[in-house]
Amino acid sequence: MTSAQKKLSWRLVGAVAGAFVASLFLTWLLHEHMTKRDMHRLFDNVFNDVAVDIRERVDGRMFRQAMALRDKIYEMREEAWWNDPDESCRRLRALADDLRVDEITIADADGTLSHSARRSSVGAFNFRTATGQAREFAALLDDKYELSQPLLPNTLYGEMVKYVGVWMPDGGFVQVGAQEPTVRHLARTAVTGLTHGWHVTGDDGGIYITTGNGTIISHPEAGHEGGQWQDPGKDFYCEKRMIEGFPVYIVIPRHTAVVERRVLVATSAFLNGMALILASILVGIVITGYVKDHLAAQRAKEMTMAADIQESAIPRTFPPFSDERRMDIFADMDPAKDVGGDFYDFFFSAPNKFTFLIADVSGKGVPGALFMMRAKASIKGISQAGRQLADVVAEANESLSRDNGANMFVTAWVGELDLETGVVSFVNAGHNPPILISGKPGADGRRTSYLRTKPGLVLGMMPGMKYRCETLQLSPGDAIYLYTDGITEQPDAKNELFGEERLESAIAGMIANGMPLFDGARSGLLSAIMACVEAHGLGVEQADDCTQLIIRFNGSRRGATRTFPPTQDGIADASDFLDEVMGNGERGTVNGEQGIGNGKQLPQLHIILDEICSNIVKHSGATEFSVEIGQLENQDGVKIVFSDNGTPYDPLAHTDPDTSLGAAERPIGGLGILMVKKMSSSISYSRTGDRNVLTVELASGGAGK
Amino acid sequence: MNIEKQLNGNALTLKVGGRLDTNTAPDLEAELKLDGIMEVNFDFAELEYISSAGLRILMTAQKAMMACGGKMTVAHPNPTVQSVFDITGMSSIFTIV
Repeated sequence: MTSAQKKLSWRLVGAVAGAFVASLFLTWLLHEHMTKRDMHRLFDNVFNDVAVDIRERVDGRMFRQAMALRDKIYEMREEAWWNDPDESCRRLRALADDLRVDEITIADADGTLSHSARRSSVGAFNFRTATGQAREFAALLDDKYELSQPLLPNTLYGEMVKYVGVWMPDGGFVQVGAQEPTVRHLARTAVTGLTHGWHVTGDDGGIYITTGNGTIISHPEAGHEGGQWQDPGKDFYCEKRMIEGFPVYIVIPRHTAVVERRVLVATSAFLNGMALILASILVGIVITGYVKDHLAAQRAKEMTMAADIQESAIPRTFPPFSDERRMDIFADMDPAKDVGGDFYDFFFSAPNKFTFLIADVSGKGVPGALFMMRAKASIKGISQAGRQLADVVAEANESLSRDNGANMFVTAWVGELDLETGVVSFVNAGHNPPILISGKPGADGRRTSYLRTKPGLVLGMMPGMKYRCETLQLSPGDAIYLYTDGITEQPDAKNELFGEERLESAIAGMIANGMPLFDGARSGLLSAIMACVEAHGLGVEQADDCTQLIIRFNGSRRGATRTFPPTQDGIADASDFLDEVMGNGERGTVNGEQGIGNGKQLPQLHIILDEICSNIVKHSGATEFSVEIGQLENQDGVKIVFSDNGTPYDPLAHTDPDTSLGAAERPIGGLGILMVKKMSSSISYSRTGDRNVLTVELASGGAGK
Repeated sequence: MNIEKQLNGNALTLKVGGRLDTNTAPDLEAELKLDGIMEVNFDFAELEYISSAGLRILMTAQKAMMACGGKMTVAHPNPTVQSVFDITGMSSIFTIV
């Protein structure tokens, strides 16, 4: 992850966490508010219920006094003093004290306040026209039998008084009034124990009623009356209201409300937490997706770059040297989705020496592609510096082993074809064995065989390695097929690899069916093999780069090469071969062309062939030898190249026998080489790989020296 | 290679045609029975060429004749055969007629 991505993800996590905390706080506030509101509603309801009950009791108590008063009035209005305001006032006062009320008021049938325990009130107003509290009582003159009021400021004096009144059947009504202490005094017994077992909510909380001085007269639990009211403390919610003069308290434990709120907040927090987790998962998915996309895009870009490097590094022009007829070469690379770092290359390392190679780099992507470039450049550079093939590969290994921090390596099979002799020198550095396609097309049939040699270590892994150079004589028409493990290791649906056996039999089958190795500059064989590999891996992704190269030796110009067994018959066949090539045999043509030479050199050529071949057969210990006959460049001469895999032997290193000696002293041996030397216009020996190579040229004029 | 053999008393004449090389030398060697022969004449008019394997037989015959006091001649070598004799110094050993 880049720092920008980290920053982004932290920001997102921060935002989600912030939202979580904020919503938690808002939830808490909301529930706090709602809880308080709900509690006030609850308290209101409870107070209303309590008020109804208390008033009923207080009213009941005062109606009893009012009715007792009415009974007395029936008697009193018969008295003579009734119409004396002062006397009646005095008497009513005494009655009020008897009845333990503060006020007594009597209205006549018209509604006039006719009598009172207070002198100043008598005749003060008519109830029908009165203002304030008194006006309501006019109803008792009309259709009501009794009426009660709560404590209210009274009309005349503004004192807080509770009045109740009952009608007089013959007109008018009587009223008793009590100020707050009097109401409490009167109704105390009626209200005592009113709230027993009365809970505010569920089993919690209680309602307390006290007297004016704080003595509890109603307690939620019976038998607890008489105590003094005390504030219940901060663990409780408590609210007080005056009802009919009685201080009433509602108390509920704070935890009842708080627990409820806590449950709500906890539920809300849980939901918020779930939301946070969901949001985090979503954020995670978004970020992962973003990073994945980003990485995939980067990887795709890198892969494209690597593929471009790889593609640019391999030669794609066929034929690469249009005037070179001594060999044909074709190669193809089918890159896999993940670039594997395969490559091939071919070039002239020296005149007539054609180097071709195939390689597979272990690393992938851009590093693999760059390593591939290094490997390619160093092999080509060292080859063209004129080094022996084994040294080329060893030096390339040195170069690649240095500064190889990524521990990448490359497997390679490097061949060098001598276009004059058909000898292929090759070094295998840990690569798959190529397939040799040999023999002439036609009745004999071509043969395919793996060119198995003990491979050297892969390149780039360890410095100081030595590599073995092997050689192989190609006859004209022989071909070598190189490939990378993408071919043989392509799995099928059952994970079975294509394998070497299938590869060889596929090639053998195609050849047997008459498929030519080359058609023009291209090789249909390679595409046919690729089709086989694809058919094998049907429904499976191509596992690795599939790279193939095929090279065919066509023989040196207008010449031919043939390999013979080291026997007398082999020499006889070589002699026939010479005739054949020189246009002296029955066929008289080679490769469809006229024989070479002018015919004059033929006896000398036969002598040379006979001498050299018999030397090889008798002395070299070779298991085969080859004879290549070709035309000299620029002149009408002939060149014969003898090549054998016997013990190293340079026939030119020996001194010539003394030809001036007499017959008796003359040794028999040594004359053959002498004759060859004398007859040829040029002769040279080299040890190429494990082969003795003797090249003899005969100019057009016949014997040279 | 073809060989025509003519025995006249103790004189042996061999007309050798074709190629005298590693392949054919053993055939000539088989025909060349020198017991009691005092004179060997090779007629190389039809001989295309000779290699060292042929020279070896000529040398063997030459040495045998020299040992028994006989003589050996080589007649009608073509230029190729002659050049072989020249190159190998055989011209000075053989009696070329």
